[in-house]
Amino acid sequence: MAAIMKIVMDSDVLIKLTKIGSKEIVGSHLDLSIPRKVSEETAMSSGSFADAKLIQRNINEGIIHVSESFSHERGEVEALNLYRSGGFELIASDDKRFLNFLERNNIPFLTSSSLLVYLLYKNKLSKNDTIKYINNLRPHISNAQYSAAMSEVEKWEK
Amino acid sequence: MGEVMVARDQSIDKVLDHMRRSGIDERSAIKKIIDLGIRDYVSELFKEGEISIRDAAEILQLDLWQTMEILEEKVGGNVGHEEEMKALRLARKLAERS
Repeated sequence: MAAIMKIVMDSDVLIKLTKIGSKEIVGSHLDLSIPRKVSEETAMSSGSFADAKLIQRNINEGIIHVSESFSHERGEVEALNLYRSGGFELIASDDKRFLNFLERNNIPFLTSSSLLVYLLYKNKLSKNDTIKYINNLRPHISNAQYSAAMSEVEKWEK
Repeated sequence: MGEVMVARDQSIDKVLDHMRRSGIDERSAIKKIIDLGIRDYVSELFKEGEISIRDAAEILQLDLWQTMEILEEKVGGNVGHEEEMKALRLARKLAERS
């Protein structure tokens, strides 16, 4: 059996996948880790949002692993430190500025939509479900991101 | 907190008149106009990738959830075609590898 890919997830992707109800399916096929700071940003400091409570529940259930860190830096710095601690394939983020930094430093990245497309490629998501989830993502992502991902899905023949 | 003097032009006066009729006092109205301007400006900076979501949250003094809601409403996301294509190529490569 192939090993499950381990990834570091930044706050924005975690929040978006939670909002569109795809976090559980992503979490069942990928090993998701977040640094402590990201867990504070998404699950702890936003108690008024029902989705924040859902993230906390996923953490409690072990669907999302929280890695302790010894620094108290911003979320993206902690995500980067976690990736560099070893064992992770990539960082998932939807933040252009952070992605450009990762690109300049040769650190592999996926976005929220390309994570879903990855699961399609791996036959973990059907084409119809992938289209449904990317359509759900549409209000949360740029037109360019939406169009590129959807075009890829529409071209896909198993 | 410092204070700023701004020359009032006709459009500011008209907006202030409108807000006054809605029951908003002048001081609150000016603060509201500035806040809306800051949100627009921060959203544009985010859209261009000049600042991150966390930078935007710090400027707006909001948490990440609230900041994302504002940015999504104003500009959607900010991932460009090029970044998404790079991510999609990596997704395919990783899927084919295993």
